[in-house]
Amino acid sequence: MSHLDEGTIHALLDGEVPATQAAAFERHLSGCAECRARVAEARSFRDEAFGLIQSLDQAVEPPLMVAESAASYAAAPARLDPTNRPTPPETSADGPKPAGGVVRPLRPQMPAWVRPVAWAATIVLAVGLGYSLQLPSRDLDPAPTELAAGDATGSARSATAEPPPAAALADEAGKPETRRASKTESADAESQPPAAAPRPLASERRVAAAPSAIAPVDTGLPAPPPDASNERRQAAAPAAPKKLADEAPTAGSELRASREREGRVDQKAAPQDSLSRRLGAVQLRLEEVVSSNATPAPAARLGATASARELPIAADSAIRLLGGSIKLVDGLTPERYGAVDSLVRVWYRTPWGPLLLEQWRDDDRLRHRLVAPVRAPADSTGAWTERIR
Amino acid sequence: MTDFVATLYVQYRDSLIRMLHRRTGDRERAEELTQEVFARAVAAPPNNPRPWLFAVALNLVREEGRRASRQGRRLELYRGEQPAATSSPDEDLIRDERIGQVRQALAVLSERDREVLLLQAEGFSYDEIAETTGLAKGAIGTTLARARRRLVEAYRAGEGTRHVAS
Repeated sequence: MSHLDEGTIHALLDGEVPATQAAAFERHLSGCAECRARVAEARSFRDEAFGLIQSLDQAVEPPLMVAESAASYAAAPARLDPTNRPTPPETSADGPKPAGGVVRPLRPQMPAWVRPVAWAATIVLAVGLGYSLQLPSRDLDPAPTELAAGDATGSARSATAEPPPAAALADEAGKPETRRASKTESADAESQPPAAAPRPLASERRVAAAPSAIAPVDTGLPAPPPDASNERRQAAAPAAPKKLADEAPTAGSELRASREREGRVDQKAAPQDSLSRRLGAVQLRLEEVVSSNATPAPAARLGATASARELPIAADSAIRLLGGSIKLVDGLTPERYGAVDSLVRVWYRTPWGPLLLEQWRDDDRLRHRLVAPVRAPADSTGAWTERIR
Repeated sequence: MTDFVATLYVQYRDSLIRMLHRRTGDRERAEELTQEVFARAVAAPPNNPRPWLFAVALNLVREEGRRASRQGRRLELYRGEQPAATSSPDEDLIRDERIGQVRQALAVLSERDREVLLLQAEGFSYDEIAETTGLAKGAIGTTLARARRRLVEAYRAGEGTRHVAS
C-alpha cells in the first residue's frame, strides 16, 4: 500500500473512514514509520486547531452543546499526551427558548461571574442545609441504586421564568407514582459501559463545546481524602474505546495496557466501599427523587453517579434512544441531554439546582423518574411532576 | 412557529450561535443571525435540518460580508467583546490578544476552509459538512487537513511576530 495522504489521515483521525478501510490503514501504519509520523503531525495540527477555535469562545460564555458527536469526544480515551486534550467546554442554557410557536427575543446573557457564584452558593446552601438539618435517614440509606447525582451547576435562573418548552415531543403516558422517595446512589452503574461506544477513531472527533460530563460535586465541598478523590476520578473515567488505528504499535500497547488498568480500577471502584456511600450521601443532599412511573428502575442503568459516564447527546439522539418519543417537563427548557447506556437524562436548571428527568424504555413503555434538587419547594416539584409529558 | 421548528430551535440554537460567534466574532450578531435562520426555517421547514440551518447561517454571513464590502466598510471580525470580569486586567489582555490572533489566523483561511473547519468543530460529520457546503465528501478530509494546517501555521506566525515585536 502506498503512503496515506494527508486527507485520509485526517479522515482517519476524525473517525470518518469505514471500518474495513480503517483496518487496512491500521495495518499499513503498523509497518510504516513515515506514515505514523505524519499521523502524529496531523493529530497535533488537528488538536491545536481545535484548541484555537475553542479559544474564541473565551470572551463570552459558550452556549450549550447538543452535538451528538460530543458523546464520542467525551468518551475519548486517554491520549498519548493527555495534557493536550482540550478542556471539555462548559454548558449554558441561557438564551431564548421557543414558546407557544413564537421565537422569543433573545434574553441577555447572565454575567459570567454570576454563574460560578450561583453555583458555589447552591452547593454551600445545599450541603450546609443538609448537614444542619441532620437528615441521616435520607442521606445514609444504604439501599442500593436509583439516584442519579447532579452536576451541581445550579444557577440563579428561575424555572418559573422559563418560557414553555419548544415542542410537545411525542410522549407516552406515565403517571407519577411516588413522591419524595429518596434513594441512595449506587456505583454499580459505573461498571456499565456507555451505550454510545465511539467508533474506532471517531472517539477523537472534536466538537466545539461538549458539555463537560456532569461535574462531580467534590468542587466546593469538603474535600474527600486524597486517595478517595483519585479513586473517584478513575472510576469516572470513560470506558476505553477501541485502539486507535494511528497509534504507533508500542504506544498503542501502552495505551491498551493503561486502559485495561483503568478498567480494573473501574471495577475496584464499584459501590460497596464506604467512599461511594460517603459521596452518595453528599450528592443526596442535592437531589431527591420526586416522582417516577417505575419502581424500581433497573439498578445497573440508573443510579449512576454524576460521572463522566454520562455522554452528552443531542435531543434527536435522545428521542431515537428512547424508541421515538421522549418525556419533557412542560414549561421548562432542557439544558442538555445525556445518555448512560440506554438511559436518557434530560437536565433542567432551576433556582434550586439541577432538575433531572431520567427515562428509559422498558418493553413498550417509556419509564421515567424525576430527580429534583432537595431544596426545591414541594409546590414546584409537584408542578414539575404534573407537567411531565 | 411549528412544533417541528421549535424542536429544531431547542436542538440547534446554541450550536448555531456558537458557530456564528466564532465566525463573526460578534455575539450579538450571531444571535441575530440565528434568529434570522429560524425565521427562514419557519417559512420553509427543512428536510435535513442541521445541514440546512448551518448552510443558511453561513450564507447569511457571506451575504453580510458582501454587503459590507459593497458599502465600503469592513466587517469587524473582532469587536472587542467584554470578557467576563473574573480575571485580572493582565489576564484579560492576554486572552484578548490570543483571541485576536486566532481571529487573524482564521481570517487567513479561504472562506470554504474556514466554514469546513467551523462546522467540523461543531461536531458535523463529513457527510453533513459535504451537504452543508456543497463539497464532495471525499474532499472534506483534504480540506480539513489544509484548513487545520493553515490555521495553526498562521497563528504560530502571528505569535512569532508578536514576540519579535515585544
